[in-house]
Amino acid sequence: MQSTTNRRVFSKEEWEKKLSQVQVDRRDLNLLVMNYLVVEGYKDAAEKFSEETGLDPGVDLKSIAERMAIRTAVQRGEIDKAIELVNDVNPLILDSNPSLFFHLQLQKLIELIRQGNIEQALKFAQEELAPKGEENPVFLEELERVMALLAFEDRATSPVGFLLQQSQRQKTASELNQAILTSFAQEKDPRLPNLLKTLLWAQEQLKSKAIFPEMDINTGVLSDPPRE
Amino acid sequence: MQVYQETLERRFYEDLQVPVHGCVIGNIPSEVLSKIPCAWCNKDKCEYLELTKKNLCLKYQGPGKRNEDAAAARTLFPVPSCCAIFYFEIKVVSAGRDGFIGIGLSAANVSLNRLPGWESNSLGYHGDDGNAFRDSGTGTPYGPTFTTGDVVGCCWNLMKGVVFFTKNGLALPIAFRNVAGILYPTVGLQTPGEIVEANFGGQNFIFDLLTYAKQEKLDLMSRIYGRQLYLEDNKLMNDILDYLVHQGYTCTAVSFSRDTNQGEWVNEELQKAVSRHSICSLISHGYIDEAMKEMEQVYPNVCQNRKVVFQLLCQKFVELIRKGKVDKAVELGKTQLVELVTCEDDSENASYLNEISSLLAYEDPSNSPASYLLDYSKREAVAQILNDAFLQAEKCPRLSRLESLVKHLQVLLEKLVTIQDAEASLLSLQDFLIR
Repeated sequence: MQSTTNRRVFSKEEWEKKLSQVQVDRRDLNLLVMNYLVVEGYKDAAEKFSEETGLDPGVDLKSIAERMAIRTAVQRGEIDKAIELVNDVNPLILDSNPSLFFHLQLQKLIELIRQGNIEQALKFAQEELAPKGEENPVFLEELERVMALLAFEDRATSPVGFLLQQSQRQKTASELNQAILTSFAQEKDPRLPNLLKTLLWAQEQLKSKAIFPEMDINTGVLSDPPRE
Repeated sequence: MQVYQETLERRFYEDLQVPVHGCVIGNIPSEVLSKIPCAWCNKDKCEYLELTKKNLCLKYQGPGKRNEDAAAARTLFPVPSCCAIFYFEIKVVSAGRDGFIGIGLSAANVSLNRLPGWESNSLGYHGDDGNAFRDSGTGTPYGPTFTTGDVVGCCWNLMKGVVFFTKNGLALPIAFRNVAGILYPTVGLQTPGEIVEANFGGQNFIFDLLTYAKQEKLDLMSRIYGRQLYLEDNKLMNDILDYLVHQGYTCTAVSFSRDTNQGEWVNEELQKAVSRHSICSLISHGYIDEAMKEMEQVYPNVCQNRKVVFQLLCQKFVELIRKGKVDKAVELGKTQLVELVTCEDDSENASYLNEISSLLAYEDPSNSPASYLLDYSKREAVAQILNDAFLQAEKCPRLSRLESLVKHLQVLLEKLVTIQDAEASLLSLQDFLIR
């Protein structure tokens, strides 16, 4: 138990009073929201938000649509289509990012296995992926993990079953989304999570020197500060 | 890809904002801002020193024979403990006879007949031997020597508790660690003819302080942003939606909820938001009567709230004057407004009524001292009061979650600065709003 002596105490009333005095510009909050919509790729919502607030989305909304089409393709397991679409946007994205390209191909292999196209999967793995694995031990390990799927009768419940889950597609889709954003020289992370991290950091810093009502970032509710 | 990544990083770097106040870096409270070091103090200096050029230039005029003939000067105010980085420079105008010149920091009680670093609670970098001294008459080899024409700086990074020096714009390695306490910029001279001129940010520094500060800020941010964040599923999505609904951005909310499959909850909440906002938007456009009519239908309870009604009628009074309907305004004032003020016995309301009544005194109110009352921002303020009252009537939280989080962060940063958290003074809400 930390000693509470010498720590300043802010009661909930005091803190709430202070909160009510802080002026936050509506426009600032809108900027945060717009940033989230754009980076996460909610094109329609970003468009509507721009209309309702008069805020410039800061990017060509068409580029969001492209990104979303690509993301959707990966999430549906249509990897060839996704690759085609990325190359339409900018062939350099995959050319200059071997690790990303390899992950897309791995995802394609996973999809072939999921469909039960075992023969095709083996051929694809041997011809396209194995040579890359020979050059790169990390790639090889990743490839072996996917190939392990073939060893199990009931793949979904096997130790590598997670590869068949939707979250694996999400992971690949996110990696691709970030690479495309980077290629546009656009931010790839929304700012809101960083704001929350800063809030948690600030609470920890203050906790070492003061007692005050902390906020649960999930609910936005202030706790009652512990009694002295 | 590399190139794009670099473009991105450069842009981020250029947009990064660092609060600079002369020699002090950090968002510090205004009462502290008026007490930052800006010149040598003519009382807290050794008598052997002559002070000129707006108390920035020091000239040694003592005997210069023994160590005890050393002469130091401090600034009037110490380095503010709540800032992130402190920096000042001196130019050696003349190294005089021996160039025994020291630059550094010292506490208020350190003898003024010593060079900085010789005594406890002081530290310094000396020009004749390039040594660093801390709490001792014996120095340790540190940097190059410095002499006539050189510009030497002292940088205290309060976030890390380190001090390093610069020579002619180049940073030297860290000289001291665990530097803390109330310390004053200090310079010490020891032989005849020595002249130094200080710069506390009144002019551009030779050292690129801004780039250093930006780098330190990036460091701090990457430490904070590198944390793990454990959030409930869809937390961010829900916060965004909550905000959109709360503020009544209905079209965006509908589109967003469709994309994220949260339709049902949204429909119900949106209904409420739509009616809240249609009334508020009437006020924003100056249609007070229409707003009140709709309010009677949707929020009869709020119509019983005399405080709210008073604000609405006051705005109506202002709108009447704006339209030149002075007779009607006078009528409104004499009857309903006066009535509300008398039965409420609210001095604040009474004085506001007096304030707006002053509009009647001018032939052209929009070009009068009272014209601020006609500002459109008054409409927005009334709309906000109304919106809050509606939310309260619906038992909705007054603030959206997003706004609560942002406000809480703002207060946290403010409080951290007041308890002298040097790191927090580098951060601000604007970090998340650039571009």
